[in-house]
Amino acid sequence: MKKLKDLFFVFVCVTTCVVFVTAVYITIFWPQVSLGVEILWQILGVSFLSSFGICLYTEKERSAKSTLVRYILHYVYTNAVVLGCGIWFGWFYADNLAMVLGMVVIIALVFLLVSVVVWNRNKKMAALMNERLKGYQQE
Amino acid sequence: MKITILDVPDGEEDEIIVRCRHIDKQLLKLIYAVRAGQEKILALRGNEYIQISPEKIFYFEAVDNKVFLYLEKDVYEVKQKLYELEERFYGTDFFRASKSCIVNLAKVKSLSPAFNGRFEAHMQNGEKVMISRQYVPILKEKLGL
Repeated sequence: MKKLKDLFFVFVCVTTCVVFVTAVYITIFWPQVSLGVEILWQILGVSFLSSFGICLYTEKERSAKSTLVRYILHYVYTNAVVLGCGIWFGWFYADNLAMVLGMVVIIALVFLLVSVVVWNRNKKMAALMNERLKGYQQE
Repeated sequence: MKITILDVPDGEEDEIIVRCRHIDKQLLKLIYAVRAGQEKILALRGNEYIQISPEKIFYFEAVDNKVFLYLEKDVYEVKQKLYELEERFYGTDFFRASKSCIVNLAKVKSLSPAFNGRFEAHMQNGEKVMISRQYVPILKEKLGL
């Protein structure tokens, strides 16, 4: 259940960020193209697939090194999903370096943004735990 | 809650009797604390054995098949396994923080987030202990979250 909740949380974050960066990307690379409703389904689909990257982080205890390796793998997985789907849906031309680089930068930006959101969520949780800890120690 | 203290004749053992309709969380914590607080931990440093009160312990850590207990400044070895200590201190201030650590929540100064869902416990003696992702829900439950 917790994993599902985490998955949903990441999906919402990723979708929000993807909508935002897609708007920027389209403005830069496809300013004159009018898009159909299918782009929304494509965004939702890519966000959903990308969210599954969190399955790399199991509840099992791991060393800091192993966790870092998984974090890098998560980033590689996200790149593979977005670039693969991008080519499939015709979001960019694979032989256009500017477009490919644009996508790579956008993926890095979304990955960073989602990581910051998740970190902030944990920071808020830590603040709440500290509050409760004080109460617990005073009991 | 009414507290009654009765004198017992010389030679009789001290006894605590709990009279209640039902045992709530607070009462259970009190019972566990009395039970765990009574027994001291036998610890070893060099060839010397000493008895240590649980409330003085900051945390237990397993390193290379040995279990150590950490006080504010000193470190001692204990002969019990970590899971035995976990059972012994169940319901008290101690909680399992990772595969290799049991932490005394009463000695935690603050908590902060660490990489990838883990948390770090900043102890009152300045040391830091990692709380792994797996055990964070246990800590949350202990804090009533």
